[in-house]
Amino acid sequence: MSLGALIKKDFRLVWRRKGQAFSLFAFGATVLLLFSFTARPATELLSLHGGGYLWVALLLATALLVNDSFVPDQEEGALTGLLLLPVPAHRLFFAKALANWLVLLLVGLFLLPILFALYDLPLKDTGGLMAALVLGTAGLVGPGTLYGAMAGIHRSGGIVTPLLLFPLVVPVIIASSQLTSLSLLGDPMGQAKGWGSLLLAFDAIFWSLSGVLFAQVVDD
Amino acid sequence: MDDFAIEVNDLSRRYGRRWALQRLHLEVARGEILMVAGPNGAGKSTLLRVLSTISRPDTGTVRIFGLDVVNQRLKVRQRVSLLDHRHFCYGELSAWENLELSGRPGGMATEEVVELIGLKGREQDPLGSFSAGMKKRLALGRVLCQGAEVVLLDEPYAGLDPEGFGRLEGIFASLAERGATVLISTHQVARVAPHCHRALVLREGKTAWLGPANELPHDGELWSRQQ
Repeated sequence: MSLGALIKKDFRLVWRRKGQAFSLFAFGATVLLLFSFTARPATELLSLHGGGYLWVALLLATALLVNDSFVPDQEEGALTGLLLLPVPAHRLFFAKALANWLVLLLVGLFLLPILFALYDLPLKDTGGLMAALVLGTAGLVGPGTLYGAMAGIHRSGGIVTPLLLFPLVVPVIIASSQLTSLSLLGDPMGQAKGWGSLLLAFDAIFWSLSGVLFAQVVDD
Repeated sequence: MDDFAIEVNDLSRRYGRRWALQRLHLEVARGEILMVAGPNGAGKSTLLRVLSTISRPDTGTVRIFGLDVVNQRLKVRQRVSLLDHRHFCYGELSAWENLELSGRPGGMATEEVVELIGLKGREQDPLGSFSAGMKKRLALGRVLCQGAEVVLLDEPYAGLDPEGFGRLEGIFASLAERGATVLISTHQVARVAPHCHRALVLREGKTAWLGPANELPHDGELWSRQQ
């Protein structure tokens, strides 16, 4: 079965569970709202750290997203059915990771107006902000999808994913937060390119590695 | 050219401390239909799961058309199809979408399968709205879409209504017609035996009886759980 057919299947599953994407957005918005209370009355702190708060919200949303993403595959053994066709495991991974990426990217995009409204942020570089969202969310869902599969398939519970994922994606959180802040507040020293390259390298390494390791998780 | 479709040699498989299969030997010819019977816990499903590559043998070797089920499992999977207790289908997708997803080159066309399993008119409905029997029909449809050379059916009658029984027997006939090698694990011995060449009765993971299906004895001892 082609990667395209699998992507179509996973996007279809996302569409039929669109309530989940809305819940993730509501969750992310709540996190941003809670952070907005922590820095009052020093609202300038919110402007300074707004980018970081956005990425903490997206990281927490990722843990929820990837834990649930294998539920439809597990309910009636559908994933096993696909492996028996046979579909190579890495294709199953890439289709699922792309669907997760789309959902997280949409959640991130819809959180931006909330971020601007709550934290009173300027925007200096729209392209940089979009690059941060695209590369940062990819960095979260690549390894996140692998750990979500481990938690779902081996029924190890929802706590395993954050325990494994959060330490691993520290570089993504740092680089995405920096890139976002530079896009919002300005980049007089030209640091954005370096953070963007770091994110790109992380994404390439961890998407490839997770694709290879996925077979060990689901088919061994 | 291999003489046998399936060669099982000294196969053992255990779950924890309990042996589900013990030193099993079996050869199944190409195009043969074999009934696998026995009491609950005899190892019928385990045998089919090992043949399908879902489970790995603890000892012994299993070959499908000469291909090892452990070391060459991707090649084995291209030639085998399994009807399991689970339906291997997505609850959020329609019957049609599930069948399209399960298709392999050489398998039956989705339209033809929908007709054969009796889901015409319901094929666009999500699986979540189906009864257990309809899900079973869909799972059978998945197997037909794959057009495999070795078809493993685990309890194919479970959950089907009398009309489904009739359709299933039609499916057996169509599998026999295209020369598939079929293993049917079942408790419906009297119903399945007329469709089979041979029967294997398992008890506590061992062969209790193997012979022509029409000579299968019906004495109580053979079917009791304990030896």
